[in-house]
Amino acid sequence: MNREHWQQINQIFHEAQGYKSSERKAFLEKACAGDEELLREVHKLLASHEKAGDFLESPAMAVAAKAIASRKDVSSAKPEPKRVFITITQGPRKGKIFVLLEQKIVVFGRANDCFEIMPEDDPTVGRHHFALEVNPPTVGVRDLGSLNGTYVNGHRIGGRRGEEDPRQPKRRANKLILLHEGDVIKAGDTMFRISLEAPVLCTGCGESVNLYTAGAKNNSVRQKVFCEDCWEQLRRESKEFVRSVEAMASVRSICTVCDKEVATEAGPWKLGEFICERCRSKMVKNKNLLQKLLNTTSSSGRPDWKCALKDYDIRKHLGTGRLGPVYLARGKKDRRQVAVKVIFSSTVQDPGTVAQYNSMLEDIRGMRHPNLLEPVDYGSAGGAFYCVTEYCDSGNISHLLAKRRGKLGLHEALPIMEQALAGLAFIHQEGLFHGNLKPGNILLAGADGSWNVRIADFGLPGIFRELGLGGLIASEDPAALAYTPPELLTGAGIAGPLTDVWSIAAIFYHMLTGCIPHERKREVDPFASLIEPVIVPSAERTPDIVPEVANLLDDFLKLNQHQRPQNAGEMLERLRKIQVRVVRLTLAR
Amino acid sequence: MLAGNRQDVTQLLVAWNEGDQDALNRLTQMVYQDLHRLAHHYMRSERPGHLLQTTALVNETYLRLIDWKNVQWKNRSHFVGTCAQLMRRILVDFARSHGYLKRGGGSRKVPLEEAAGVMHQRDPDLVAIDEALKSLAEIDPRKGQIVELRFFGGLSVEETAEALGISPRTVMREWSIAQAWLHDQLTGAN
Repeated sequence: MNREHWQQINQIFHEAQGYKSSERKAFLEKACAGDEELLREVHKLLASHEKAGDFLESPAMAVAAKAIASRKDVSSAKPEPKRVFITITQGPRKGKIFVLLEQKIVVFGRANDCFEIMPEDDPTVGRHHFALEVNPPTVGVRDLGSLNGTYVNGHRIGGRRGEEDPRQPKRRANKLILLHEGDVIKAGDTMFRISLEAPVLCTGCGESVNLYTAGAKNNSVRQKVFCEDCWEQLRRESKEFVRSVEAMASVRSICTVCDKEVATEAGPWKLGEFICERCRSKMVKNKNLLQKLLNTTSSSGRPDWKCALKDYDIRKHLGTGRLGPVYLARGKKDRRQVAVKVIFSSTVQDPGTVAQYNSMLEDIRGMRHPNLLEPVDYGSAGGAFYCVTEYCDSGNISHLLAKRRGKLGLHEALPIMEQALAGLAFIHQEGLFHGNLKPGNILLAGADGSWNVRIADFGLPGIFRELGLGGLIASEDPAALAYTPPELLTGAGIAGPLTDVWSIAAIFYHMLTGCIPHERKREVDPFASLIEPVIVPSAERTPDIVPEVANLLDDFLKLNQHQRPQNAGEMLERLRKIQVRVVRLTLAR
Repeated sequence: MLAGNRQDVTQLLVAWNEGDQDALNRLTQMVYQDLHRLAHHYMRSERPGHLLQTTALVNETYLRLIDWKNVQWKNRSHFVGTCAQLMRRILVDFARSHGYLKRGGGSRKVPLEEAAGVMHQRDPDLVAIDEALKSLAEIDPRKGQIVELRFFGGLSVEETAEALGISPRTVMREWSIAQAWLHDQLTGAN
């Protein structure tokens, strides 16, 4: 097509649009004056114009982003999820396999709300016999005070001691036992075999290999695994390929810190950075060692960030959370105080995982709200991840409760509740949830009495879970689970805004009454009282509580998810409705 | 939300315009970051009302590159044109290297209800648009420019008009025919 011809088409196209469709045909025939090709071109264009609709109207950036989002396996850069397999090897349901992909606590026993309901006719199995705390690829088992105990590889854990009356429920909470590949658990007549699976990379191309596809298991040379494609090539082709494979195969896994070979710990086929368990535990206590690691290997994930973590002085160990140690640090340039959270991964950190971590944190960093802890920087170092946030100097709700001898007055609690709900409502509004709310995660800044509330730890546990980095088993102490709604403890529910609603309400309940909402009988195993809770109405705990507030708390803490407010926004609305009245009442008192 | 400093972006653009390869790499990284963040937002924007936020996000992405009020360039249109060209290049390269952005590259299961209206809803294929746009620019450079600014540069009709020094009405006229032509090229052929 030449330009003149095109101009002609343009001219006629625009003029034709001025005509009604009934008159258009006549006009076109006249305008094209017998030029069949011209007529055809204009027709084609007019028809296309009608069909085009909003073609190209949304910008290319949005088109590309939508294309990425609509792909089911967006995760091409994302590591394979880690899984825990539980196979029943003995008992009536022999052969059944459970695959657990995400962090969960699952209870086994004869009761109806168990994850796996065990045979009714086996008298040696308890109603809630044992719980598995799963966080792929880590898994632990805890006996729930069963009469006959649970056996791990033939060793009895839990159960009653000789002097304990078998008719009485058990009083101690049992320890969590970490499980390993191939461990066997026995409860009553049923046996379970645990297998842990971490993704394995092809030595040829570095792509992850699914060990469970047929044949893949055989594609191994001297403990190196290959994907189907590489294996075919290897067999068919040259010695050269075999040599390059051998060269790659000789890559050893070395701990970034102590330079020792850690193949057994890290797994023999994995490429990437890793810190061995010994160094990890050493570094939690030794800040100099950590500082050295951060100075030499840290790289910020922020694309616009010029100073890496070496520009911070690690000053003080503030504490160790579920994810890892937290330190107080100060910027060498701006002298700003920040909190540095270091998260040690118990699996090898390959570049894909690092990239994914960075991209997810970048996503979170965009979420700013006055009641969320402000993220400053994030990135990775050696075999660890880190996350820098603002530092709140006034502690958290736990500390405040300790200072106030257990509980807060309404005048102090109300503003804290309001701010915490505002922050959480923002998270829910964005379509996300927190998932790990507890008094220690509600931080306080500012002066005594006029607190600024900041919700911490938002998103990190979820990200860690999604990346399958492991090592995040729930705390040994059952009290730490008191803010997790029971449906999550039995494995019957999934985490979401509804579970956040319960958690934050349990924190408020604790703030106002001085104890957790669960009824706690002395003779009942503390863990069992959490999974089969009886919620004590707040007015029974503190008779002088303002009735409006008591009603509010009791409504928020409904065991049935659907009877709770659907998100923090709704909670905030309800709190604000009663606030004015309550403030007046407290002043009058 | 803005990850980059505008001053930085502007300097990088100037450097790129002068042929600095590193600058292009850094700009590409920034655009990718935005792209992925945007994709995250799409993934979790199933609820209604979210669309607005996402639109705002898209604009924010472009604004970052198009802060042309404070820059000494030969003229504004040159600068805006450079931005749009850059976005085009980065996004098309991205689409090319990720087969799934191309038609037929990578299959996706479509629910039946969606399949019925699939021709309407299908998002255009960036690589094919890039090719078609090259042919359009050969016979009609201005229409090529308008599509580049609006589609790849993310400019509104008014902004496009301002950048090219023509009236918004003309932009709309030219756009409608370019849109029809490209639509025909991309859907008519197969």
